[in-house]
Amino acid sequence: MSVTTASGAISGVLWKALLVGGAVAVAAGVYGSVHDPAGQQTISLFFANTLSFKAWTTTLILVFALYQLYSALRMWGKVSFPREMPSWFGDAHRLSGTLAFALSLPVAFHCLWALGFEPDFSELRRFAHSSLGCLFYGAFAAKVTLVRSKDAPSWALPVVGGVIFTTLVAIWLTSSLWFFTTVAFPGL
Amino acid sequence: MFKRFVDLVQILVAVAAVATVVLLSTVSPTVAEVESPDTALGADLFRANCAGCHGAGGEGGIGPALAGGLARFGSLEEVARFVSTGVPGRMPGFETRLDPDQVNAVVQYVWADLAGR
Repeated sequence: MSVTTASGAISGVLWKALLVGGAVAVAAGVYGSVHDPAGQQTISLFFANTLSFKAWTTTLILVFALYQLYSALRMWGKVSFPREMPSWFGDAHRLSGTLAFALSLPVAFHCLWALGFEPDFSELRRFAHSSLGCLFYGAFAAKVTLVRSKDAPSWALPVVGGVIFTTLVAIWLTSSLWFFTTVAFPGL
Repeated sequence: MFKRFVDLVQILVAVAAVATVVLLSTVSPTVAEVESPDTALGADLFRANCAGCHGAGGEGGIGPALAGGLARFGSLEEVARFVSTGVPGRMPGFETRLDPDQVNAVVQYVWADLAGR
């Protein structure tokens, strides 16, 4: 099976990215569903509890994601500041994405291990948050698959990057913002 | 130089990601948390102390529904602490009525059976 790109070329890497991303997203959802939630706190560092740690860490991830979005727009020529891109600009983009992903690991660990996947649609916030979390890691895996490929069509990375960013914003809305507005702020 | 640093960070994060996946499949909750709750005791205590406000099935009443109400908590420990201390003017603290084992029995019953966590 193949995908026809805008230029007419056939790109198997898109299917590979889709399959890898889908597998990661489904694996996260299945684990969260079948694993018996531990109901325990995990890491909290200097925060009051794990939920507070997660709310603020996700906020920091969102800051990194905003930089990712801006630096990607600059590298793709959609914004013109800075006029001259410094030599480290691309690496700074990579670093911000890497740090955002690294910070997401302890957050996802608590979500999956301690709370699990919420399958009940009537629990809309938790259902949406669970689904978005799986989608985020699936999209991230797809992007990692695509980013080093020379065969991927030019629109693929911006599309997947946009999905990751949009998903992350929605994750923040259904977790950190909810925490800050209904549980505690700053909640430190 | 900076590129090499970023490469190194990426390798470390990749290792951390693999470690996280391994931990997800190997780490078990601490014994205190997974002790099989005395469901009957928890249910009895719930009926006697909680159902009046939260409903017999935790559906809510004077107090909030427990399925949604527990969404703010990240762990059983937090729920137990909340039940013990209460909220002035809104919910009585139960530390003077129930001993810690009884609080844990109620919390585990609510967490596992009513709130469906």
